[in-house]
Amino acid sequence: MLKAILYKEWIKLRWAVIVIAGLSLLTLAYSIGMINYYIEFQGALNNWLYVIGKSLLLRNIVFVKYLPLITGLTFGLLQFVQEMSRNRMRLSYHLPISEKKLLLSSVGIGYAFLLAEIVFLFFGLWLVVAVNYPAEIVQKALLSMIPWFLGGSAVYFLTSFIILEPSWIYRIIYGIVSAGLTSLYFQASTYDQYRTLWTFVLIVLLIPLTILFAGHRFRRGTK
Amino acid sequence: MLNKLSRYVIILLIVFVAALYLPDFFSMLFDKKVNTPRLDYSAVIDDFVYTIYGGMGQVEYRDIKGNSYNEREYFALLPFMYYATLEKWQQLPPSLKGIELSSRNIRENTQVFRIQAKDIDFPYVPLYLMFEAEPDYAQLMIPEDLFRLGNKIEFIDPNSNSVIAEKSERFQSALLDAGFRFPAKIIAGNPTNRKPFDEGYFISDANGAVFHLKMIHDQPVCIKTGIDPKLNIRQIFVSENLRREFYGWFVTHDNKVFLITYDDYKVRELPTRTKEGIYDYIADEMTYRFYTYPINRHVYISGDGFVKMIVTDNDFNPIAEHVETWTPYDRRSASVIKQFLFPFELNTNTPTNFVKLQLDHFGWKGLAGIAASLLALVLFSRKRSWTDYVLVLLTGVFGLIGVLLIKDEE
Repeated sequence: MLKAILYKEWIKLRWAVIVIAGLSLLTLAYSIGMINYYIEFQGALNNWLYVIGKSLLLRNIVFVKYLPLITGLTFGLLQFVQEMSRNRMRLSYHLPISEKKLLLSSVGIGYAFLLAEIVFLFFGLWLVVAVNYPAEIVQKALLSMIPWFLGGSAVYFLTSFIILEPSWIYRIIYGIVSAGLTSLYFQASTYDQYRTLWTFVLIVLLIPLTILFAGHRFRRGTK
Repeated sequence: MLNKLSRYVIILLIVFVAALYLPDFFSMLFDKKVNTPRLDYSAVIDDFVYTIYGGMGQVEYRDIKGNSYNEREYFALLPFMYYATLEKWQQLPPSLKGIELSSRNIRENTQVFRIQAKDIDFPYVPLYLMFEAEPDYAQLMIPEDLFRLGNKIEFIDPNSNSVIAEKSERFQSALLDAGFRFPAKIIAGNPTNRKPFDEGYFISDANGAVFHLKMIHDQPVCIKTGIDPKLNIRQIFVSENLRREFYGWFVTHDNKVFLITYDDYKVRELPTRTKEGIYDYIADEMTYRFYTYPINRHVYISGDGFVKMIVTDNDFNPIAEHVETWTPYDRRSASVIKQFLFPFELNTNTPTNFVKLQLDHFGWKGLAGIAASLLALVLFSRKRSWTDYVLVLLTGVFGLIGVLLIKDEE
């Protein structure tokens, strides 16, 4: 059964996965291009000083900041908007699998693709930055990306959660809460600005659980 | 069971977001600006003077005896602050207490610094610039390399992103020869070429001993300063000034401030506390300012609700001190109501530049809001599971919003 669900989600996501994979490559290429451009025109030393003093690197890899967020939003929309229109989700609920397993595995599959993108960006950027900059800058750049990745993950789970919720009033409430939560992950203006990330990780881990309540409400037909 | 848990996760997220934004939003709507006095010390009348901005361009100029002045009179009381304007008005007297009052003399004998929480603890990339202290040029030149300093010192060439072995070894042995014990802890310099000369870096080693490292004619010069490791230094600041009285200053873990003087690195403690023991300097919460003028030296310690000023003569003997206070944020009406209304607040801003999630709870005052929230829940929305009540008991109005918005599904 799980295999069938996996296949179904893959059909929904395949074009998006290919497009997003392309965008991830482009993001990496853009970062390489920008870094090389600045090194070429500022000179290596000046560039290092700007990277250290003015957080220039964060601007050069700015697409890494937003791509996981856009990906999360896209995947969430693609996976669940069609399911919720004209209550198609009801059909899935007749499958011989518990609704909780169904929902969590659908979300799990979507997240697996997002995670693959995050891992690709993380290691790709690691390579790109390490070629041009010393270990201190590499470490700071990588640590700076973690909140963005957590933010992207949160956006995916929150989008799925909002769409799976059957009532519009609840969706609006959840939308406001989601905006408040998501903005927490994008507050840094320089490298490695978050003192501890554990609370922020915990929040992302908790969000998938919310989907069960939305699914339950849908099953009961609450409006 | 899982559905119940899932509902509480949603409510917890609502509580979390509400605690993060609602108290702030409340303050933004209702808090009023407090006009704080700007305190200063006049060497002309040997007394404290201050200005208060009353809004709409109204400014009051007073001294602490209660006399009031007009703008021109007030500026004349503070020649070291307003010398440029006074000179333009042709009101700068030729001398005061035997000290020549010319723009040039005042400028050359004035030095100022400020310490804020965000100067002590901040996110940074641990790479540094070592300037040539005696360059062939008219001004300091930005060097061609950077260095890192941890378990050893290494100079890095940005063009090849690799370690410059020969130079690194020279500096490494200079540090070791001076008695430096790796790893380095505090590394303080002033990495700009917009300064008259360069004094390099003050570095504390594994034992807390402070070393002075600079580069003269491409050769390392490393001196053990003899500053007592027991002072427990928290952060060092370096600032080159042509007065050459002190290299810089440092703050200790017990909130003392010292100057590192040119007199063989002897340290001189600056006043941070007074007899009464209130409004003493706390580095994480307050701003410390030090002004040295041709006559007298001023220390300002300012925080939420007060500014304290300690004046010493040029030899650091205390002359006078004064505190001006106003209602601190915690006791302003908007803040008090906030504390009764909400049981706690979350925020991510710190006085330093870091993002850190912190919870401020309002203690017994918050119980008022919790009681009201519980009462509201009992009166208007009965037949709930006991867990809803427990949640409101713990989180007050935030929890109330959560449990009222998200209905139980059974």
